[in-house]
Amino acid sequence: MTLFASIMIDGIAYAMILFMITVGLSIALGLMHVVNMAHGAFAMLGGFAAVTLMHRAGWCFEFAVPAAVLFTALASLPIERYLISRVYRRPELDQALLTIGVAFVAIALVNLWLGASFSAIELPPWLSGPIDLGFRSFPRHRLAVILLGFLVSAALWVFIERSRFGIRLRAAVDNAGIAQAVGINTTLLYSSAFAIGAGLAALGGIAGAELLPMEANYPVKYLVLFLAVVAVGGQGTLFGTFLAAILLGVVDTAAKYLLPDIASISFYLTMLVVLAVRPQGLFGRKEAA
Amino acid sequence: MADIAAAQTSPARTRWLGWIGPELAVVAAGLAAALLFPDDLGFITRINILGIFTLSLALVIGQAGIGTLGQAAMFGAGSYSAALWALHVSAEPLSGLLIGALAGAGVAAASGLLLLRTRGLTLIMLSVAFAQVLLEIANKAASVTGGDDGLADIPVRAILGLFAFDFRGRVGFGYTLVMLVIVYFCLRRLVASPFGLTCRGIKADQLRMRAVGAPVFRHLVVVYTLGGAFAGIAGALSAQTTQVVGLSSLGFELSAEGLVMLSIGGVGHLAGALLGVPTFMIIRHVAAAVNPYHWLLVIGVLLIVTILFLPQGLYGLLHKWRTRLRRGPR
Amino acid sequence: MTERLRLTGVTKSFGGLKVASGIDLSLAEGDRTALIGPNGAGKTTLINLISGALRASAGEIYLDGARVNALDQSTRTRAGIVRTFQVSRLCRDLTVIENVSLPLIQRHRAAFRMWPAPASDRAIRGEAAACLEPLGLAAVADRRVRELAYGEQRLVEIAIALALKPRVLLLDEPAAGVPESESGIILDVLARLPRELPILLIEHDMDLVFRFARRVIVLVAGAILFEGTPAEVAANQAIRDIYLGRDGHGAAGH
Repeated sequence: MTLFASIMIDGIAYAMILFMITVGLSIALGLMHVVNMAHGAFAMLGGFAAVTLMHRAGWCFEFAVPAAVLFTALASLPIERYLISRVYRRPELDQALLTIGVAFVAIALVNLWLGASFSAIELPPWLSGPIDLGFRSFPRHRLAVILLGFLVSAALWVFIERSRFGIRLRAAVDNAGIAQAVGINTTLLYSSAFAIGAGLAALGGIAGAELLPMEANYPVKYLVLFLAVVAVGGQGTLFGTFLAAILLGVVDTAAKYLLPDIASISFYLTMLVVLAVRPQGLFGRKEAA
Repeated sequence: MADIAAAQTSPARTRWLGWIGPELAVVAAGLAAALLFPDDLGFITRINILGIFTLSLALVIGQAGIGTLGQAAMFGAGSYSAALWALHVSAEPLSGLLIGALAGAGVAAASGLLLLRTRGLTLIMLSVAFAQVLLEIANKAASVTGGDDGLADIPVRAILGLFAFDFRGRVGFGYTLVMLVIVYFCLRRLVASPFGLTCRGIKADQLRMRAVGAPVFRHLVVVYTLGGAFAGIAGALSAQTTQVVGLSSLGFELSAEGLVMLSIGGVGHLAGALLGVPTFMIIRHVAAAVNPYHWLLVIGVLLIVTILFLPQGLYGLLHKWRTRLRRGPR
Repeated sequence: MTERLRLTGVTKSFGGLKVASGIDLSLAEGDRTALIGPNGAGKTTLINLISGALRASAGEIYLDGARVNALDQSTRTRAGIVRTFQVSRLCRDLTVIENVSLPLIQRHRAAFRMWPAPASDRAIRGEAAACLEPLGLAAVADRRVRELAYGEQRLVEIAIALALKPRVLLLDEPAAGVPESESGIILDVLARLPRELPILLIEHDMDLVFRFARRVIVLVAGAILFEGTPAEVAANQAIRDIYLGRDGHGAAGH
């Protein structure tokens, strides 16, 4: 029983981090049809920005984190406008290569700016330490991540399903041509969606710094992980990404606990099986030939 | 396909040059490099091997449009199988090459049957997944593959009984250069064949090709398998010349590197592989000596510039200059 | 006249949406049949069903008496059911003659030959050039398709279709998107197509329909509403209503 709970709690915490980081990638793919291999760089940027604000500027955690998220979202705007938007209509391979280039540059710049050493994010007292849930005690931080993840998912769902921005977003994902014809400013939409995705990735990166430690190679090291979540969930679907994150997060954690020998294979096998049976992902739409 | 009019009027010498001119250029470049940098033969050998690997990508991606990030699976399969062959059966290198080619082809055919039904991100992820699963299997089957440590002290006898491998790496260099030229020759002819044109048609528009009666899936499987065979040969050569094999031969980094090298050189042309590999390797060698992250910056910028401004890569650039030079004197 | 293509009761549904209902159709040697109907009636869908791009939910399709339902698109094309596309689908970075060589390579069963064979390659190229000649495309043979005017691209579509030596030809709006100045050439080409080749032509241009077709099939909401000579169709009040609307506002044409 305690084992099951451990797996679920650790697995879902991992899943929430994956979800927050990758939801922006999924939206970019579904909305602008762009494969952004540099997406992990936003998660990394969030982490490094938070650390810099806390250590070099002396800000406290509660201010540094939102500021880092905001900073990342704003920083993503010129990247989207001047670099990534130029490959929107190009073949997937070109998009992948351009964004890999952006990722390399991001890694190099972060390293040159902050040097090879980087401090971990220090958690404030109200997030550190254990909480005793009766059968086992868990790190407070991990439970906070789960709570944060659900809050973010719920907020995102409400935002996309109910707000006017969300309606425009869904219209453009469905059919960009018609959306434009109806007067939706797709350029503004793309930039905003991109920035929101980047900000969420930053949040996920900060929240997940314990599981996915901050380092200069972050974007490339975890690239396959992030892409896997999006591919398995189906591009452009919020629910699909959420479910895929849960599936992959829990399977990976369960394997680490129960079958440590095949833990690393289990992740890729799951991805293989899902994509073999449903190439468009769990909730993706079948694309026309 | 050969231009009838030109073929009928050009002198025999020009025809002959068109026939193996590029291959001779590769031999000349290789020999020049070896003569100028006799202490770096190991580095040049690595360039030859990656040249073959990237040529396999030029076939699969550049000709048929199969967007894969998992080509290392075939390279690694070739590496490990050639190593195991040498360790347990026979240290004769040419048979090892054949084994490597078969292993690469086999992995490609098996994974291709699933992979090639998909496109875009799904295809990319499936190709990555296959390579990763193979890597994990190699990691776990440590008794056979050496696991994390890999295989070492791979024996290799003299090629054709005549050319024994030496410490200075001259035979290794010559061996890989010859193989590179042979692979390049075969691929150049394949590109000029009806099979090659059909692949380019499939890359352009699969639906159109179906409407023209082409069995698209069969074609893709065949070209992917061929690409796997060539990647397997590259892997086998790596095992034989360095006498070690490690998990990195199956890794994502290798697949990504191949793609980067190809795109810098020019994706749509075989020569792109031959231009991109030395460029990438030399830049990395030089920049990494200064600071490992500097080379990432240079390559990153190079990639961005290539995709945005030089979609045909270095090959396209050279081609433009050559055409401008030809028109110049008028 | 020998029958070449026959459809009986062909139906296609996507979930609850029926896009083709009980289509019965026959094309014999030498037929010149036009398929007309309002936008969304399912004309291109019907061509997709015949060519194999879509699988029929029910009904039978026969080519030269043999049932082809189980065959996929490539196989049906090789058997002789050839279609063109409403919006040109050509390999834009290949030259015109390379585009036309692609179907010839399939017909010569050379698609898996991985080395150049000068004699055979010359034969294919010669045949490709011969396909381009009658369509007036010989001059642009070595130009890339992306450099051609749209009217010429539509002609390349037709050249590719003819290169396949079709038993049945399905033309999806061959003049669509072509400016007035260039459409005359397309009409000429249509007039000079092989006599015994049965042709099913989708068109919105009534002028073209009346000049080209000997039979007209009217498709509305996935079902055949009427079949007859052009004159009969023009005189039919129900059809006029659909096209011209009760108060004169049309649903057809551009």
